[in-house]
Amino acid sequence: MTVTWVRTRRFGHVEVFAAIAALSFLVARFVPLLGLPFVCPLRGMAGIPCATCGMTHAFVHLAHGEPSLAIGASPLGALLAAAAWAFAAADGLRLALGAPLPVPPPGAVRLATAAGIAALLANWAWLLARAA
Amino acid sequence: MIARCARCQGTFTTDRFGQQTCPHCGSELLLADPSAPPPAPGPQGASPPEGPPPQALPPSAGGLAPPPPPPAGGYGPPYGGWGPYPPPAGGPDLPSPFAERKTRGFFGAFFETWKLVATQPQQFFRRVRIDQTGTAVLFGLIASVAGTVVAGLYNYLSGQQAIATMQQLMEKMPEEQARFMRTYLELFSGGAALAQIVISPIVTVIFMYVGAAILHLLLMLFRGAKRPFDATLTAVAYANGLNLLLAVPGCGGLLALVWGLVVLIVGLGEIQRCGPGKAAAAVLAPVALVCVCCCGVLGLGAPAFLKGLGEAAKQGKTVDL
Repeated sequence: MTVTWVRTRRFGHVEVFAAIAALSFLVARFVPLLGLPFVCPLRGMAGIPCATCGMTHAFVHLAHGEPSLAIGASPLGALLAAAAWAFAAADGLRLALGAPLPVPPPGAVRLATAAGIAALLANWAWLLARAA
Repeated sequence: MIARCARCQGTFTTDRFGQQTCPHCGSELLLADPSAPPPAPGPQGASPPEGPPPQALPPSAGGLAPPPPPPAGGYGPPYGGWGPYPPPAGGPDLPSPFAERKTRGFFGAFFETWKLVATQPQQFFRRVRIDQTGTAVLFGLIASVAGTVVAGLYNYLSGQQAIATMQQLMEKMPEEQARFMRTYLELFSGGAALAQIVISPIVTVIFMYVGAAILHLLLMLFRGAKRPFDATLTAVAYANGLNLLLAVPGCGGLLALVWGLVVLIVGLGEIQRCGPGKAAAAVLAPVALVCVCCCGVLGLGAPAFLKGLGEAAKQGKTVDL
């Protein structure tokens, strides 16, 4: 696998994604999201969790330094939160150092996407099994 | 005499010069009189030239003369021209009218772009430049926020009435579902509706970027991402402009959803040069996941809702919908 290193603009698309990831940490850490009267529509009406159920809890728990609770709420959510915040920090560091952006080859991106879909389905199966 | 339309290249007979309509494509065209004196140079700021003029052809014994070679750049839309034209095989990409808002005027450029996105997505996305993502995101942001603001105000003003109406129907629902419905109604009315207006700009930008990223990854998976991420973001952002339809009371949400999905599929297929099949697969894969939730809710909630309506009708109660 050959990774290409690309010089990017000072604030390009990658930085927008990093900003969104950083914002997700700030919201999960400082906004009382779990107090909102929001219930997953599928869970509210049928009692069955959807594929993304528990992700808000996972983000909030991880942002408050409770990894076991985060994984318990949604393993994929906890992984996603950790990856997003690590990405935001790494991109901030890269910008500060003026380093180029590593771009993986398309084959690796395709593989990662397929793995992501498989992980989402596995996570959903786990949530359904737990709810049963 | 015989004339040839500069747009569709169709020939037709006419007995006069001047303004006329092509019988093949319906384009308005001006057939110049060759014996007329050359026109005086127009004032500054006059409208830009509109492509090659139609040509009057002399009838010949062997039939029509061969058509002249097309001008450089082909017969594509002239300066700033996004008018009707056959889909070109190639040619340079064009900035959207909204990208030229400084010269065209903000509202004129916005609505011209909106019209093109909504009614001619195939032509628009085939030729639109993908290196102006800032313009595309701004367009999608303005349209979405405008639609959300109007819908939010409408929900705010009609929220109490909607809750009162739904209360009559929720009496027939199981307690758990009725409580859930009540929570949702409160979430989309009153102060919550105003809160949605406040956070809608940031949420729209996040949705556009995250949505474009997911779609691009899925397109890569289906080997349909022939062009970089900028192309996918451009398609998502312009298709997001359909959210202006949220301003239509009642059916605006459904209209924006369905029309927006169609434009997104057509647009992605054109802008990524991957065709509508792969674009539809990429767009509908996440939608299918959402549908699992929404259809489940509809499937479970609709019978109770209809039962409530039926029983109210039997008892002679009036339900104000």
